[in-house]
Amino acid sequence: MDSSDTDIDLDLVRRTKLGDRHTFDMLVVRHQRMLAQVISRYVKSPQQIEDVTQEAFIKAYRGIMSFRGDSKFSTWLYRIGVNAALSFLAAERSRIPLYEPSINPNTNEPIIPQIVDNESPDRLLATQQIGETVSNVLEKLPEELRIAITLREIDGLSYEEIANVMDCPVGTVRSRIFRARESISKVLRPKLEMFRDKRW
Amino acid sequence: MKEKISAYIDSELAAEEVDTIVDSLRHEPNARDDWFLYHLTGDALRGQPAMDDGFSKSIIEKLKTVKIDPSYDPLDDSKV
Repeated sequence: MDSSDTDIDLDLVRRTKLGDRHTFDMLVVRHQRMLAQVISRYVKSPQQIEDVTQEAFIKAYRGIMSFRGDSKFSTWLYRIGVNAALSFLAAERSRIPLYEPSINPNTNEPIIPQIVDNESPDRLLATQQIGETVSNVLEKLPEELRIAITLREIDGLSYEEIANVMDCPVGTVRSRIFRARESISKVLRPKLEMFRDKRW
Repeated sequence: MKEKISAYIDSELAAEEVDTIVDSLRHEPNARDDWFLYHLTGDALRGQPAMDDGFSKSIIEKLKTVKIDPSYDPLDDSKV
């Protein structure tokens, strides 16, 4: 990132602090999957993951003034998410009595409950299909687009670092990453319509 | 415009161009759609679970009822 460029998260937080709530909405879209994934390590059911993720975002918004920028915004949000998940688990434990298995009257053996998967079937399907779509498009992209988007999204390199790796101007990197995103989005958009009538 | 949204997502947009992009993201549904899709693409490449736009919309709707509290620190449990 050039010194004249703007760190997006810090910029959106600054605008939120100045009273522009819509810029926090942009942070929600930006970080929702990361936060839900963190929370899903602690909380099991899909509905609970959504509830705790929502709670974490509400806490972050309410307390946005306490974010000083000493750490990355994503790190701060991560900590809020983990705390919200742990608070949720503590509340659950205090509500639920100690587990005593039911007894099957026919066999006189304890009934073992099924382990609940923390991904809903629709979300698993969507994740799988979106992942496959993105992979398929990625494979068919011209090599220079595929390398540029991979270095950016998976390896987290800046445009300048990518320019050094690919031996091309920064402006070319910016264009390649955009063209890769557009190519993937064009294929992804109609796929998302398939899930439009249901939550996932 | 789309290329600038892409660059902004990567913190690679020149400071003087940011206001225009934020304004378009605030007002233009197509720009917000690009914002959602570009982030979904990145998350999919990193293997993160898919979440539909209804999820973020429900959070955003809920946030309309929440006010910023300057004395609240979400990482300080004693003040929760």
